Amino acid sequence: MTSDPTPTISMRGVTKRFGDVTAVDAFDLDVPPGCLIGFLGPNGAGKSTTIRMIMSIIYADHGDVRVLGRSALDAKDRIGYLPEERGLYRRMRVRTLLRYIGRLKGMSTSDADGAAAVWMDRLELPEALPRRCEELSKGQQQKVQFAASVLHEPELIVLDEPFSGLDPVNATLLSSVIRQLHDDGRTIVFSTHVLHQAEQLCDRIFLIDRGTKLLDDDLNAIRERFRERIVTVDLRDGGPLPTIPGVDRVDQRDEDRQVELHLSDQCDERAVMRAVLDAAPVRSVALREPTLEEIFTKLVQERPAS
Amino acid sequence: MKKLLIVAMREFRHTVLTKAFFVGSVVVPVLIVLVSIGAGMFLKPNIPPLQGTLAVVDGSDAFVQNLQSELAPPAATPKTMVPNLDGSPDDMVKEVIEQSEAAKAAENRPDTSDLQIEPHSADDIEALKVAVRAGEAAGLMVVESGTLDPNTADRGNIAIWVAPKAPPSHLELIEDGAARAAVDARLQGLGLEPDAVRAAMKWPGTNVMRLGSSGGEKKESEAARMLIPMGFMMLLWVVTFTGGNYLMMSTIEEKSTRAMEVLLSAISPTQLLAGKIVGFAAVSAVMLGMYIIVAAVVMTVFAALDLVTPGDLVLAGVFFVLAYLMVAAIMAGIGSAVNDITEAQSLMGPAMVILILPMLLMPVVTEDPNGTVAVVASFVPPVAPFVMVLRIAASPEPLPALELVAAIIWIAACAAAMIWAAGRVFRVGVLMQGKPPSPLELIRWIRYR
Repeated sequence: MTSDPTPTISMRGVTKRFGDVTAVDAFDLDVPPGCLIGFLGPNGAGKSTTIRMIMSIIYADHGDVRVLGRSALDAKDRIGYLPEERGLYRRMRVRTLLRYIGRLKGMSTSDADGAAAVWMDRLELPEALPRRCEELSKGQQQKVQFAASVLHEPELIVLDEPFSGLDPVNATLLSSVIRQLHDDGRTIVFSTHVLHQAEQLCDRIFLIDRGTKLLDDDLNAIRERFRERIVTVDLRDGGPLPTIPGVDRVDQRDEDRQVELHLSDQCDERAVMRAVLDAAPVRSVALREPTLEEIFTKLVQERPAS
Repeated sequence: MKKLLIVAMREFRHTVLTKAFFVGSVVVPVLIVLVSIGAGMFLKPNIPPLQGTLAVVDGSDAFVQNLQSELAPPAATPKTMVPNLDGSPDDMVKEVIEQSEAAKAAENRPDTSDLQIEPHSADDIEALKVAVRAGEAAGLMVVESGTLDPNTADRGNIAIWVAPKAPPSHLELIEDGAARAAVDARLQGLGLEPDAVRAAMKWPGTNVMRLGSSGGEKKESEAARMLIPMGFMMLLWVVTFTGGNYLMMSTIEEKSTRAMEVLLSAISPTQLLAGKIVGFAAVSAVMLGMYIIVAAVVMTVFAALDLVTPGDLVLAGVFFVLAYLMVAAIMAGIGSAVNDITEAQSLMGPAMVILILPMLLMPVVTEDPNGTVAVVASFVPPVAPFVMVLRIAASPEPLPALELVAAIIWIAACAAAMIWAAGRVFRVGVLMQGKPPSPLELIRWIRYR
């Protein structure tokens, strides 16, 4: 983490419309340096539009977008970008492609070639360098595109749905590379609609729905803010549990075998768990906090319909 | 600027240094020439000899004699395809064409060394027809009354019967021979010697000199008047459209493979478009250079290099750049607006209708390079640069300097406006997927912030 107080990304009153549709509606956003922030939201929430404005691929109708302390257009060489729509020149060789992207990002040919070799090695795909892009599998192409986005050692890395199309092994590899980049002090914006991925990787969350900001805070602060104790019970024989003191709400799942008890603020969770064990035969009892998905669902459901 | 050049270099290398470019620009034209020459050399028609008896009914002795000499095998003459390099370009072109036609006629002439012409009476006609049908006679010819009379206004008629399987070369030879024998017989009837008359009928050569309005004179050349403007314009058209087409295809490829968004994360759409325009301008220049070398060789052979002045070439170069920019703007707009080549073809239709206009205007402009149509068309984009090139090449005298400067400024302004509009469309279009835009939507894209 760096102590530079200037936000890496600063958006003020940003609005973007496409015809009658408001994709992004007058929101503010500050991304501190060195932060790994997750842009979350369902499909069509406005994530990619926001990212495209950060990348100055499209421009806001209203408001101001500044990246790395300057106009987004002037900061392109210091940003790495993996777009949601993956695309490579099919007939171009991987080495030539990475060299071309590197050159466009301000690198010399030899630096770009060197970085391409290092990154393809790091992504466990060194044999792909002399091959044409069309000869690679979808997952391999995605790795090449990831390499293209980080080749030039950018200060800000924007990854739009980086795990889509990757098998679990490669998703884990990419996840670890993203963590290393974060540990190196890079600011990373990571967009996904798969919330548990963000929960595992991010230290800050920016939640958006229908173009409106719902949440923008550190993950720990969000957990604190939406803190709730939930006891998850896996009943051996099923059937309803008797009423247990201190439980506000009971959610039945999986044909009454899975039960979730939402506890009141003041109650003792150990007393509730003991009461559960006394009330019925169980396979497991566990205490947990709400997931990001549950927080998101709650926030979205609480929003008035447009 | 550096990024623009990186894009330009990439587009140039990935277009010119490919097998497709080499095959399309070098191998295919060379193959066409070689196949044409090879076909001429090796694919000679197998013409059967015209032999046996050709019966003539009601022909005069003079007609029969004339026919005999017309159909007799020609004396061997030395063949040459090398023009007389001392003549004017027009004379040389005519000489080559005449020699070529004579050589072709000689090649297609059936052997007549075993052909006999025999006079017959009208009573033999039916029997002769039976013989011709059976292949026992080469043909039957009946000269109608009055055909050989030099004093009648009627052109007369000669009826000819040939065998069922007689090839066209036999018919052509017999028909032509009969007609010429009849004309010669008429001349002889008037007491004239046919060879002397033919010699007297030869058209004299003409040597037209055009006087310059400010003194001096210049030899007028049909080749310069027709072929040079046509060559200039076709060259310009082919080269600018090939470059423009490459630009469109490259944009469609980047859009359809989704590589566009990666590029736009590194450079602005304006830089990308500018890089493409510069890159494919270089591709067009390479093609233009290749064609100019070929044209220069041909013109050197025909001693016609002096028909094109350095000033004309400089001006043609200026209008080449302007024409390319206009075509590139149209192609970039189309390429960025569509998702694939099929959609591009539907938008190319209207564009091609406009851009084919210079072809339609060519006869009018070359006939009167300073006429109203030519002058007005010189200021109407996007046909203006093409028309200006036509006018420069076709005009016997240099175009007025003021008009040239005004046209260059106006066309450059129009090209800049078209590039600007294409840039606006490009900026929006390259990120759009789905249904291609209507013309109204395209205008909206131009006005987008």
